[in-house]
Amino acid sequence: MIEKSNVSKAKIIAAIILFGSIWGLLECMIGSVHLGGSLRYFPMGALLGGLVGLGLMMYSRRLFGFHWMQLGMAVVAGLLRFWAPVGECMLCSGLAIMAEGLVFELIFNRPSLDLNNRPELRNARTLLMLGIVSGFIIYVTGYMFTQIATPLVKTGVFNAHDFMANVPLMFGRGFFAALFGVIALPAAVLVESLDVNVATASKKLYYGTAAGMSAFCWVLVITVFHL
Amino acid sequence: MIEIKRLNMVLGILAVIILVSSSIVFAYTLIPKGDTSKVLVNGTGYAWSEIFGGYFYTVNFEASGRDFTDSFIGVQLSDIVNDTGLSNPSGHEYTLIGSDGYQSTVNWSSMCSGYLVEDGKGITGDKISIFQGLPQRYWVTDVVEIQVV
Repeated sequence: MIEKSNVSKAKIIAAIILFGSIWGLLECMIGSVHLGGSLRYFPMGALLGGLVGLGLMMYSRRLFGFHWMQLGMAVVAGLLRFWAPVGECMLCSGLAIMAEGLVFELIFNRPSLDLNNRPELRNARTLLMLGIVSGFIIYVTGYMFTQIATPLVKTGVFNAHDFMANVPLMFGRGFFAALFGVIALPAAVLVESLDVNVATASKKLYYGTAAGMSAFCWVLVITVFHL
Repeated sequence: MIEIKRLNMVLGILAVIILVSSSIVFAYTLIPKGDTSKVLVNGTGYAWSEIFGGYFYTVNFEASGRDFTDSFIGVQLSDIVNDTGLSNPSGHEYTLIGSDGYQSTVNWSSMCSGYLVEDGKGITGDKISIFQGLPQRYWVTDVVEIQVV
């Protein structure tokens, strides 16, 4: 984990597009999976928010040490998400992902929780607990945002009674996001084999890989959902 | 800046509160909030076997969900409400409640383009309310009650 970002802005922008595209692709693909039988109450959004979203955001923070980059990733992921749904409130799904990115920034930009500037936080015990708390908060916030934004966008009316009645479901499903956070955060920060020195990586390889993989994500989503 | 020992303590307490409370709440949502063999509409109970046993007309319709468009067979929600003898149905709103406690309130216009579906074809779940033109956030799985508001 780098203490302070010494990576060029162009590389950071390329990484925002790459990580955001991967996140958006997984949102589109995994988000469309509907489990049956006794697993039908499993919230796929908890897997996406607590594992994929949180994991990718923290991993990019580890590699680049750059604040607000993760919100950019969420914006890219949200934009890609706009392309996937058919009939759903596309704006709301995309905005919910962006809300998750914003919540991540609000949590991890706090000096007391800045993992780049506080190496003493990078231990398994702290990260496990932080994974539970952040995974839960990020998922539940995104879920609540969808519940508020969707009726407002689609009908112009927000029903507070419905929202309050559905809070226990949002809260309860956050349990899974908390569990996924236990895996995502320590893995994104501590797994040594994931370490890549992006500052010294050759420009040709770096930009080529970023552009190729980003393009693959977008082409795949557009192909699957529109062609 | 908060020191690591104190931070760990705060995080630990928060993590335990979150895990314990959310797991209890999740378990609570799994307890059916009504009789899942029937739907209570404006105080009148309709068994699912009755709803789809020929008492109401079933119609084919198409609806778009989050990631799909598909055709379904269902009973129009407005037909069921009308059967209860409710006067001035267009002057009310309707709250659909699922067995997990999820609820969604819609107007009469949506009830006229909404259906109870017995077979969600594995992509929406079974015994679900589907509304044409409304996003999936409004759909309620395992409907146990329709309240007139």
